[in-house]
Amino acid sequence: MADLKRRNKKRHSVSLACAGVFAVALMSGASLRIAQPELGPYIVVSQNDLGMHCMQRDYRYFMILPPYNTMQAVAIRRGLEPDIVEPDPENTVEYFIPSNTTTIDKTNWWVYSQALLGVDQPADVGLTGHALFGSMQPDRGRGLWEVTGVPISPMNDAGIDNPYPLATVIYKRQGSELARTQMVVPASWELNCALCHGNPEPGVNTELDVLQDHDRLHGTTLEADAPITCAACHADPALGALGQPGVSPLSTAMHGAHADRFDVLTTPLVESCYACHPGERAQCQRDVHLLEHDMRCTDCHGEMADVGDPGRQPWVDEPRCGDCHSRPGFEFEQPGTLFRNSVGHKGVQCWVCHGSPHAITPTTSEADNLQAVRLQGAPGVLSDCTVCHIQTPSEPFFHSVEH
Amino acid sequence: MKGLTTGIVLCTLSASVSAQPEYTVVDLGSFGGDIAAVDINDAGVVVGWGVVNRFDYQMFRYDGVLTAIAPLQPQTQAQATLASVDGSVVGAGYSMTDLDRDALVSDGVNTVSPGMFTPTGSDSSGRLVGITPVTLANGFVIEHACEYSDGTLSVLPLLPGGADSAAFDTDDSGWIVGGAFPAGALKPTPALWVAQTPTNLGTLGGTGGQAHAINNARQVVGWANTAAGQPHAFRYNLSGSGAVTSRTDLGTLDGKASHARDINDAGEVVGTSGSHAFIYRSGQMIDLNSLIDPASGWVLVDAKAINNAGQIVGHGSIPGHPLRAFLLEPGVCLADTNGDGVLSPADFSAWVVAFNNAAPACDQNGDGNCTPADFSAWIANYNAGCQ
Repeated sequence: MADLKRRNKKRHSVSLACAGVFAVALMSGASLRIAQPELGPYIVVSQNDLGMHCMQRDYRYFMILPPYNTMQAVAIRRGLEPDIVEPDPENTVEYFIPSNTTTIDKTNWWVYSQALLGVDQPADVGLTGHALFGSMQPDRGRGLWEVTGVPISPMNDAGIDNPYPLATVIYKRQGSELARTQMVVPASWELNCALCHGNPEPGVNTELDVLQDHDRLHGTTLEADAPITCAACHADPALGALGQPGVSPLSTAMHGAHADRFDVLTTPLVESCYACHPGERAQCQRDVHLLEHDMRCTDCHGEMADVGDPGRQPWVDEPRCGDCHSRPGFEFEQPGTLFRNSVGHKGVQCWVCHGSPHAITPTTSEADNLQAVRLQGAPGVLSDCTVCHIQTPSEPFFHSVEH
Repeated sequence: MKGLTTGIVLCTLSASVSAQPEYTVVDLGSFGGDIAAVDINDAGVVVGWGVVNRFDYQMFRYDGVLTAIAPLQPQTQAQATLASVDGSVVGAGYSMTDLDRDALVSDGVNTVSPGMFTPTGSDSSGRLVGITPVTLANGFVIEHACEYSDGTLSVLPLLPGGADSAAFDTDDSGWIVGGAFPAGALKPTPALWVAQTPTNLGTLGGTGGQAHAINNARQVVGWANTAAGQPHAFRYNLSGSGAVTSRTDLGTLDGKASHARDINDAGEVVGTSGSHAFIYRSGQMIDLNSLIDPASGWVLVDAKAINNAGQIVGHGSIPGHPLRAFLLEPGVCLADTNGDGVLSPADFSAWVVAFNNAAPACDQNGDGNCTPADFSAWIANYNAGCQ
């Protein structure tokens, strides 16, 4: 935990002469608690699907992942017996990200989208046609709203790095607002290939060095073909890319090829995974498992060679909550379904109460904790029944799909 | 060497060359990682942020020497956002886990925090504007334009019914520009605050935009969406009451998007389009990459600021350094042909080499050609000297 403390906060007192229309208070994240909230007849809860999304700042040479984020929302009608609101045309969910209203001036992805993907994407429109604001798509089958491919970057409009920008999410019926919330739309461009690749002094670009190494080791012509999309050959479920027959999936190739090369790393890292995944700054794994149990990436995912095992299915063979958690009468995840896709209590998505993977509340990041604070007055799993029930039920709570 | 004349056999008679560079690119150096310049004051003091110890961001000050400025402990991160008139470095300090950002003001030795906000602009008296997170009684945290003056931080009113706002710059009369969300809108609009009253400055026909800078001639620049939904750099002229008297779409370099970052009192605008830095002047958007020596290896990506002396700062790339801070110095000393900053006989040898290779440095009279007439022009330039 030493590194967490190293990056910990301090505060300054400040006098605020409020000239605005609101009665406001500046509140420390450390004291992120409010009085028992007064909730209306509806709530909306929204989360990111993975807890972190990687992108690159520079796409001149190759693309691993584009600017891409997935946001989901569930609306609940509060009551003695609450209902999950049916996503239908009458009900809509809108989103916007106040601190990040444009991205095209922060990365060159739009310059190279044609060369990388064969599609000249319009300004500030992401891979799946969605923007930094708009309406989420109803998914009746899953009882939620979702928007994919939101092209957010970790740099806000003031030029400050922030991997955890807040989005505002609004649930409306027939155009009238019934509830709103705030969620983190995480993004990071911490791909620290430069820890090993390239050499600034003779002027060898990191990305170019990566392509040259690939050409040298695998007989490819990537340098000449640049910019290239890695998933054009290496299957990548993150992009829905099937890759080329006989070529290993991107996850298998990357983890397998680098697993035995980390002994040359001279830079101390909180996590060796943060040499490539975000990261030393963003700290993707920031959730309750780290906060309260000092659990690191490898505690759930295994070592790098394990992740690179050709027998593993990338994005399918992932850690299961039930691998560690057990309690008589309780269930953890639906059989054969990952946490991020599972539903539990009365059909509510697991993430509604627990948060995103890697950001299961409470987390080390104040922004992640904000939604729970607003709904129940304190960070952590939504455990206050009255968030949804207007009166605490008399029957006991079971952590299972059936109840 | 004054009055230098000589006879010389010129190897070739004429060759077309690209235009002589208009700007000299100064590489500000680094602390071993990425580095970006964000502002320059009229005295030529440059500020920005750079990566230290592989992962941490720190503010820097450049006045011919690059100096890192440590954040207030125990914060580990800081990014400069503007250079004040007195040469102080102003920026935001933070830890990665926090929602809030603390304003930092540093003279290079001592750093203080005037309050909890991200400073983004200042006037010549040191008054600051910026963005502060405000937590409402119901727990929502909103972005709020703010002003810091005489030791007091004030939030600026939102547009009626609006949700969030941000201030990015101010002029010496107290006018503040930024972005603010109108009632029910999902995108901000360029906004102006005069005497605490916000005004929607409007867009270029679409929905959404932000104003990023205002000069003392009450010209405002930023970006706004066109009717086609493309973000374009704009320049609006304001009347004495703050009304928009003209709107100019500055166009783009790539046909897709552009963002204006700053404007000086002469009305010169800088920004980025298609990941190339631009300057807009005399009614034309010009790629700054076309105004520097192409042999420099630089790709100028984003011009963040221009001062009243015409100096421009921003970030770009050079081989081996994907994110590098630059300073563009206008008025290249043409006779300093070898670019060492000193006029000497070695420049004559360098000019002969340039002539024989039809290199841009050959063109001493600015006619776009490399001819024997440039020899006479070189002598004249040499005798005129350089500042």
